[in-house]
Amino acid sequence: MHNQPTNVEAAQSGPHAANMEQTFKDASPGSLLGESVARLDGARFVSGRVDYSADLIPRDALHLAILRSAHACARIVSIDLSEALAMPGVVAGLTGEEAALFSDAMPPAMDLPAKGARGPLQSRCLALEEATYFGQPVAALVATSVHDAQAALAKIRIEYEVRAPTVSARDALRDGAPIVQPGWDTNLLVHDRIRSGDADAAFARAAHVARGELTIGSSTSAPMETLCYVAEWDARGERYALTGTFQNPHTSRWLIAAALRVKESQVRVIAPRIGGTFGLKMAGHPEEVLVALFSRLTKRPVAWIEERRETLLAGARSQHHSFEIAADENGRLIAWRDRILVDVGIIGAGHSWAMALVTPAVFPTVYTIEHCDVECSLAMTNQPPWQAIRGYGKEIGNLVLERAIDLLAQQTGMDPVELRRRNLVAREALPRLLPSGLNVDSGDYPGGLEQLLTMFDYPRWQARARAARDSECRIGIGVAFELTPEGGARPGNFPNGYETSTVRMMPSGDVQVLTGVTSPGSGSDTGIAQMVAGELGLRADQVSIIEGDTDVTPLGTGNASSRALMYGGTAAYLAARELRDRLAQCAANMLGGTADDIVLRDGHARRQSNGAQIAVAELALGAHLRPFTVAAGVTLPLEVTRSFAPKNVRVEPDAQGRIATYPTFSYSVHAVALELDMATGNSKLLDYAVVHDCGAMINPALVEAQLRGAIVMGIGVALWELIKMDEQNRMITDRFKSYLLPRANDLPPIRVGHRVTLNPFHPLGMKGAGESGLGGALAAVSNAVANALGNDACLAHVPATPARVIASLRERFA
Amino acid sequence: MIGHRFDFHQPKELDEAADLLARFGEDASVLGGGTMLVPSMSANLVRPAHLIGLSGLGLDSIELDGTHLRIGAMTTYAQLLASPIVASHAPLLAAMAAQVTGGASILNQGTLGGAASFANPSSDAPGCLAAMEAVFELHSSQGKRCMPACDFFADAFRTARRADEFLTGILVSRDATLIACQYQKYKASASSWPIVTVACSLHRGTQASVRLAVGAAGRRPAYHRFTIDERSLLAPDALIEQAASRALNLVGEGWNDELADGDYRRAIVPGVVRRHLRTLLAGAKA
Repeated sequence: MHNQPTNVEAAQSGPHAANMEQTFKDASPGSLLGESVARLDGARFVSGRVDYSADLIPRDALHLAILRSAHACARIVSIDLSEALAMPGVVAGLTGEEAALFSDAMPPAMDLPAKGARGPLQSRCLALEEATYFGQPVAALVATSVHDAQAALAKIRIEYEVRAPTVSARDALRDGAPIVQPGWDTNLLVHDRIRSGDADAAFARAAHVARGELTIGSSTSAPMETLCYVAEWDARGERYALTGTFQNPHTSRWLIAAALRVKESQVRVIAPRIGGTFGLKMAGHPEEVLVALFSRLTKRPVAWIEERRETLLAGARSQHHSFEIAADENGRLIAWRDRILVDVGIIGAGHSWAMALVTPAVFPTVYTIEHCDVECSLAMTNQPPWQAIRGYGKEIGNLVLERAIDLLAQQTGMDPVELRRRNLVAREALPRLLPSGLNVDSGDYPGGLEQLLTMFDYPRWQARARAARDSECRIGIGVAFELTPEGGARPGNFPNGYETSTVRMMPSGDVQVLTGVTSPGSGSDTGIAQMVAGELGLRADQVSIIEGDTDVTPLGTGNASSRALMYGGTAAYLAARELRDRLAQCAANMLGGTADDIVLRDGHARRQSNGAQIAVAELALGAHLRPFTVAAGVTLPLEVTRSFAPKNVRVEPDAQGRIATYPTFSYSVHAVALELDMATGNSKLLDYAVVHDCGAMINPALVEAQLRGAIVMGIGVALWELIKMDEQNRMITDRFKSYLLPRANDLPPIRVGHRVTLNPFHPLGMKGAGESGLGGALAAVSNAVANALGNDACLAHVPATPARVIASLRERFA
Repeated sequence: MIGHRFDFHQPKELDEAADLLARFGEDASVLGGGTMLVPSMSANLVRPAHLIGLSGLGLDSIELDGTHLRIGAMTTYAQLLASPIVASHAPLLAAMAAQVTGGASILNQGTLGGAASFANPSSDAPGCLAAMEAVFELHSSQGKRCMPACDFFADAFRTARRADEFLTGILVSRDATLIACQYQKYKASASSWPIVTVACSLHRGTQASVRLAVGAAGRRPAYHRFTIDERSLLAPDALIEQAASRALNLVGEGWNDELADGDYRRAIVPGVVRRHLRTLLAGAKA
């Protein structure tokens, strides 16, 4: 692995280097690393020639409809399907009791914490005896059409004994609170405390202390394509084939096989193109098992397409923070304290509650704060299980710390940019260990801030804000950093921190890559093709990528924690280098000389010393037809499998008992200006600039697309996106007219600057890029709203909906 | 996905439509553009046994006679926006249509009559039509009757239309006294329904007046016509304050839905009323 790219233009130096846009280009011959190659299948996507899961439903498939619990907490007294089964088109039905005859609960995709509470998961495909959250599947039907299946749902007779649900973390942890999850003896899932230095002493001697409370509402990922699964039981082969929106195909195969009581090899999971996921389509959804069960019972293909109101049940991010930050008389941050209370809902098979443990792990992000004391309690409640979501908890840690810094600036009269500038970790001080045990790889935070200020006219916006101060429409300015751990490799999680790819050259010279990672629609497959093609002297469009089929691809994670290029791509790159060496030997066999004199470029292998060349395709054909001469001394076939596991993961606990489960740390710094209508509480974004650094960028266009998407999601979470429940804890934000996503006309132009600080622990200098930007946007926009409110109100809730803003103004004047 | 079976009727004559409604009454839903009804059926929130579509009746004409502008109930927002007659004789309506969001599918499919008949408090049409003192033309097997906006908008999601009636057109008086008008909706983001709307106009005839309708804030549009003397236009502050508190009274308890509660809506009413009346009347001083 001596693949450090030569002549990388990343490490600029000189007086103005800090302010300059930085690029990454691997200058080795033929390399495509650092080029914005257009998406290979872009034309197919935009012209509607891509098959998504729902396009693959066979004509004769039965359609599944699910009766979901109307109550957040109830005992199921009885279910009578007889009338529903007599409805037109209905073929079969299952209650929880019946499903339990044929299936088990899914095992956890992740170990429960060793010191934490344990009990059975709510991971049966249909609830058994108790309904523990609104929307939990309690009975299901299949019919010859979706319409018939849904029409029959209304005929299911179900009797509940309704109980008062526990709907907040605070209530769940109260003495004598009812146990929300059957079979457990506590509602406290995990309690964690992360400490460094002596926070008590630091707060005692601090010149300035700012305190705050922040409640973050529940929000969801809302991908364009909802969940969809198609199951076929092959009675002769005794195998299930499940096609669908699987973000982690191999994990799903394991969980589904266990739930269906068959061997893992009896389940094939196929994940076609996905229309966005953002974490939602990770493993552990009960409907995966339901379609499979029904396909076996009815001996027909069974399909399910999730309704939008079902997708929107998937909440996350509901946290409450009580925090304080301390500085000395020079504005140096010295201490950070945060008490975090998290409502993770019910615990299903997906184990997305783990996001809440990542929130405190990011502290103190990009700042030099020596003394930290962070306590985090995760409570189970009768809310739907958390579903993984982009940001994976990191965005909330960044949000809270950035709010605290702004509060301190407001309190001391210091400029928020200057306060940040004084406290950023220097480039030379990295790598550095965070109190959580994570080891931050590299970064140039001061450089990022100065570059941002060349893109965002801070003095001009400050002048405009001053001029608008007394008007009905104020201007707020927000600045925020984000540190984004990526490439998660948490012990006890399947799969873990390595990925595998196979590069295969066929007799015609055609190249296929089989990889255990998948693209969620991000175009990461194009990046992988670039990483392979460059090594083989080919164009990216000459390499095809096969993903998402457990019978075909190497075992892997699929899509999670920004690993597709960083891990899967690197594995493919390493395999391609080995294949390149084999082809060079073949070329030397045919052209004379030695393999190290051969260069692969423009589809040819060239002997550098005399210019003799031969087409790569000819080498491939020769190696297959005349292995004893062309491929003499070469391992055949022309197919190489490599795995890549990151460095900078540490599973041995350090002195504080902490491990390091994230190896790479992208960062970004954001500046936003918005207009706040003081009469209505409505915010309108006016200007946005961001500087982002994820180390080596294989395809800057793909990175930028991910970044922009993450920023837009962060803006939505800051201002509008909120899952609401009524008094009975039934979700009322069940469509896009009530769960408000940002639209294009809500957004300002977003100006993006890049920096490239290579990751010293990765052979190509890469870091993750996929979630990065969300937390910075969330924090910068929240800071801008608070800045517009000034001393007239306190921002205590995210999102800063107009109703919250007006209520906070009224509180202050009451 | 629509989870029930129903019969779809598409009458070709007004009488045929009236007969169907007389027959099915409460079991039928009238389908205008369908931008509200069809999603509600898809979510299984409503399950009408009969659907009576009006698209075969030719109810989408915009006509001007000596006294009135008549807009067919099935006129789409796109047709309103394209109409020079609407632009010159109903500028408030044109301003409202210009703020309709939802893209081509809503502009080309959503109808003014459908929006009025649905009477969702969180929508544009009721407040705007109340401010215009529009008259609603209802058809049934017993004949035709006309009803002013103040009676037509009876409650949230309820108009004075009987189950055997359907809306055929909306009438707006020609008004040479209209000096200026403003329409503005307020909402958190583009995809939201309106949370509060303000429609106001200044009229100077033998007697000057200001018409003000606040929509979406309460269960039905809060409308009042303020008769004023010319002097108060020179120093309108008292009038504006009076209008702000009158509007809040008319709003009543405030409308609650998934997007905003009544307290919030009521809280912002006085401020936005002041804002728009100030602008409306600022131009009148000259």
